[in-house]
Amino acid sequence: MRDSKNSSVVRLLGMLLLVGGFVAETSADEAVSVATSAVDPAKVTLSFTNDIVPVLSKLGCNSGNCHGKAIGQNGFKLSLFGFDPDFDYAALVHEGLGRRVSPAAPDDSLMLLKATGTMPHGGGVRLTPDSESYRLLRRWIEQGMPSGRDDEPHDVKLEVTPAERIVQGQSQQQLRVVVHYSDGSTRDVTQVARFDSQHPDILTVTPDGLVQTTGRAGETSVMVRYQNCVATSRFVSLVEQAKPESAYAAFKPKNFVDELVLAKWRKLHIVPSAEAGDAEFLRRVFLDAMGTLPTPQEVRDFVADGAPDKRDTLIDRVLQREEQFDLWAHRVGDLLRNRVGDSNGKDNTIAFAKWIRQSLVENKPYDQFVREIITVTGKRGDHPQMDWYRWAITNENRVEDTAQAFLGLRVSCANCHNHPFEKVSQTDYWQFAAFFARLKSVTYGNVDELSLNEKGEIKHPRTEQLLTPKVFGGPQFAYVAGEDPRLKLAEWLTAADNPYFARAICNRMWGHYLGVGLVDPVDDMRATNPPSNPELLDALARDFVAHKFDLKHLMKTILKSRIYGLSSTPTDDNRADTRNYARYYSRRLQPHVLLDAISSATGVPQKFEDYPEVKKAILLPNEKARSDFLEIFGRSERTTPCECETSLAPNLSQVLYLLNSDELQRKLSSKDGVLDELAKPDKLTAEVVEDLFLRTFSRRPRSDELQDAITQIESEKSPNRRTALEDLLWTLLNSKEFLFNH
Amino acid sequence: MIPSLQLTRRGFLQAGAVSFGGGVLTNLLRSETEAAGSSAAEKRSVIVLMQKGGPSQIDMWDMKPDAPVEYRGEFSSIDSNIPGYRVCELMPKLAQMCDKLAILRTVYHSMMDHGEGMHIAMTGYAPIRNIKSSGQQAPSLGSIVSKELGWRAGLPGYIAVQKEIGFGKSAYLGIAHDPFETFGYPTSDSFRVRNLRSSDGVNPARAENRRAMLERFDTLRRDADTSGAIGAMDTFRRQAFELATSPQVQEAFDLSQENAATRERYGRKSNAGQSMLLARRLVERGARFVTVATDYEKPWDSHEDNFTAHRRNIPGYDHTVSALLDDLETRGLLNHTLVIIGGEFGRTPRINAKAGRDHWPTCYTTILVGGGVKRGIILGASDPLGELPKERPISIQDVYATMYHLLGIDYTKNYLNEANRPVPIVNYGEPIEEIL
Repeated sequence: MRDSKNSSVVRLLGMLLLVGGFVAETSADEAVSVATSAVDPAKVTLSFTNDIVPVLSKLGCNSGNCHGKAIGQNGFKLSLFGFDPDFDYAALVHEGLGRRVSPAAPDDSLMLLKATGTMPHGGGVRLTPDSESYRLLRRWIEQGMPSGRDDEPHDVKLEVTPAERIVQGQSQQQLRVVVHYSDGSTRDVTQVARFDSQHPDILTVTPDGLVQTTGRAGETSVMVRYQNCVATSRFVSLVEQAKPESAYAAFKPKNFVDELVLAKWRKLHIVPSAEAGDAEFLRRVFLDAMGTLPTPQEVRDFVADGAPDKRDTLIDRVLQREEQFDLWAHRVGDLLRNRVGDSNGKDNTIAFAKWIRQSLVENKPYDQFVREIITVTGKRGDHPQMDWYRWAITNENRVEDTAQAFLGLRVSCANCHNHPFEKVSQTDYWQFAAFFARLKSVTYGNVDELSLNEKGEIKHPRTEQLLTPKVFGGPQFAYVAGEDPRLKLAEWLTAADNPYFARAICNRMWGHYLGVGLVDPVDDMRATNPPSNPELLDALARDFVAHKFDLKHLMKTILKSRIYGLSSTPTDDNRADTRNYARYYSRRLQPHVLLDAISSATGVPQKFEDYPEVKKAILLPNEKARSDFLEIFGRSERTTPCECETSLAPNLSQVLYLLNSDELQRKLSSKDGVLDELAKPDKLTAEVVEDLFLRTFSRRPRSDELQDAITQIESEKSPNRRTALEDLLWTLLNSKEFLFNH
Repeated sequence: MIPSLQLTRRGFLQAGAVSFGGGVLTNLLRSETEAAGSSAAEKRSVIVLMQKGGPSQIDMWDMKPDAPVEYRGEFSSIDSNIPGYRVCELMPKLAQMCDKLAILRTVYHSMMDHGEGMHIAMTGYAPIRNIKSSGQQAPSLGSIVSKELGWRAGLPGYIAVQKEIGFGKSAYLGIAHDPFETFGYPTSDSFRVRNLRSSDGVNPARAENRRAMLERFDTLRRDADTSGAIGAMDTFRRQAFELATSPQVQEAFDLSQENAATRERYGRKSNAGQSMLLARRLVERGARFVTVATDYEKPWDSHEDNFTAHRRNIPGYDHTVSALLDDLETRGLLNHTLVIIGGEFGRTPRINAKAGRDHWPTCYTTILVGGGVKRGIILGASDPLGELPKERPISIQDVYATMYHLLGIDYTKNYLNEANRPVPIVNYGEPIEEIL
């Protein structure tokens, strides 16, 4: 912890460093070595790219709501966050009738007069004449606006210290930021880096990088940006005192997942909830792994089973059941956006859905599965997965879908400008697109055949330079005559050491079963959105690769962990936890799963007019089937691979549907449903109530619930017994214990 | 995030005033509340009348009688009640109401197709990606209003009569801000809002019994999730029960409460007319934002036989729109109800080989009425052929900046989209000062 005196020392040193780029040994907690160049700062020729642009960024001149806007601001436009220094140089030096800079009389330069508010400036006063930034800009103008050398080093990496800190209560921490250049030199850029708190309710950060925690418990990070680099400093803010080891005695780790989660709890002073009861666990596994409710008999059997390893046995059994493949085929269909839209490709989507499901049944290694999609050529009849390219029509779609679906990266920003929160530049984006450049173009509608052109290049949209294929952060490839560049892409994508691929699917799978991804949202993995437990994500990915991309192994690793079986009921020692799995996080059932759950609880299957052969919602091959229910409850339209397309958020229409809809009432009053049998006069009311609880909540009623329900039903005389049962089942279906997995 | 159910004093007065009809007392009560210092913006409502497909501005509001025959079309013009301004002969009723309207004759954007056009017309944003593969990419106007201002007088912040018109959803604002859709056919005697009341087989006593049982059996803890969904579910359920049991809300959606003369006045068989009547009932009771698909006998999209289509459509349009505006005025609602009238674009001034007109987003007419907009203004002028703005071009974003401004919403505020990019409510638009 630094006191205010020390932090002002750092600030002062930071300024000196900025001006001269020379070394200083600061009193930061973890010292960082800084390159030495003991020359008179005033004589150093400044570089526009490395000295001036960062200041413009720091002052906010090139932000998206000022001159960085696509059309600029009041006739003056800069590239967003300075991603295009050549453009910015021209804008400042050559445009605006040359008045923006005035080397003869630097203080009369429009850019200084405006920024200091000496002349009216819509953006207000951004700097004062006595500031370091002013002196720097002035000096650059005085030097005749050097543009910098072509061979000058560029930024490659940002280092922020401390990278991680655990603090107790309200406290302060000065951050230090060092940029590493391509020539190996470094520079302290604390004063010109930009800082953003990801959760201002947990901590705030000043423009100078002084962090102040608010005293609220939680984990968050400060995003640090400088030129094209990003980094984070992670903070854990504790309010609880360390827990004695005995608090963890009841938690017996079963595998490495448990070990790594437990290590995190110790660090954060969190104590897990108790283990979930058998009935709760069974319902959870059925819903998460198969999208299905257990039958009353399955609940009874599981609860009665005395085998000590019955949970593991259950998981092994469940992962072999047909419904398991149905659920995942549907989810993967969302991810690969198997969609009809307004095309006439219904049959193609059915074939694609079958191909996905069959791949899961065979437990096709995930790397092979993805390769077969990305590199597909030939005729659709032989390769139903070709349908993936139907919606990946443009090169932009292909880049963004590949990145988001298989790498967990959202790169759409880099279509037009460098990604502001990730080291993905516009050039990276279009070089990635170059892998697809030789595909014969396909037009909107159905893709019946995919083949390659001999030629085909991608031009950089800004520089118009011809681009060679290059993976994110990886090597470039030359086009080889007769060779499909996508093979190189697939090779990199599915390589054991790909930094994104295995982690992306592990995180996605984790998010599915545990409710919150280690990186959250699950498909927004980037340096500035770090995982809550990086060691765990790394370990999962390593284990997954070591097991040859075996999805079923990954499922078992997660489902058989002790933490998956924790109760969802929070305790005083973990109520604030939202990222470290100290309890199971409840969530509403997925739209298709919920509709099927209502059908199975009432015993009345759902009919789909336009898909008469489909008996369960989860078996629908695409997004198209007409269904009020699925529309209201937020099914994925499959227009993007984003996980966010399926909504689990409630809204008014959902609640109204459950309370009032004719469709639900028809299921309750149907002559073919479960109530017809249960309403028979020879049935014992207590047994009927138990059956309804088992069908919906997957547990027996508590004694007070049983008594209440019996009283309710028996106060009604036949034929009203039937309506009383309808009302009870209606009540159960409307209860959150039914609507949520918990 | 979760809309408040608080019935404000003003909302109560508005709701309560209904039972006195649209007479003097209503107006007295309203002006009293206005005088009580509540801001005008807070009180406003919006009705969007969308002529999907694109009506022909040159045959309706921006007539060019002196243009060559291949432009000017078949219809004659008639005097309006603004001296020197003439409109289509098929709009005699609206012609006499021009002194209430702000007629924007130079609205433009650059979306040539229906999908892209509706996207920009419903959201203020051109789609960045192909809409066929990527769908809606920005929140609709109503979703923003719902998010910013929430419920009012026990009614959802954004209501779509029947179904949302297209690109009317919430995008990255979350489905809590999707429109509340009524479904059903307002012309039908049995018109009923979907799921607003208990299913027919469930009588009120039974419904009450169910509700009481739900209170007892629904015991899952509210803190068992991390996303707030459990708590939100409870809140929406409370609101749903309010809707289902509030006589005022049930009455707001109940078109059968209107007498035969009123229903006739809006065109008893006109889906658009009866939808507008429902919209009027809703804003009268405090609804903030209501959309109505304003379709008549023929699609507005008249690539062939433009004049037949418009000859069939315009009389219905004239009849129903004038009825709505007149009714709003009589009831003292027009001053705080902004009505936005137009399509996703207009139609080509030059007539094509099939006597049709094609899509024309470059210069078309949108009309704003009421809700704080100046009356009797004709803003912007097109060139002699009606093809391009000659004076005062008005971007579609200007129109929506005006709307948000009137509602007291800071249209420069940013929301983060899926890529975490801050996206302003309106980009590159400014309120139209001439009509404020």
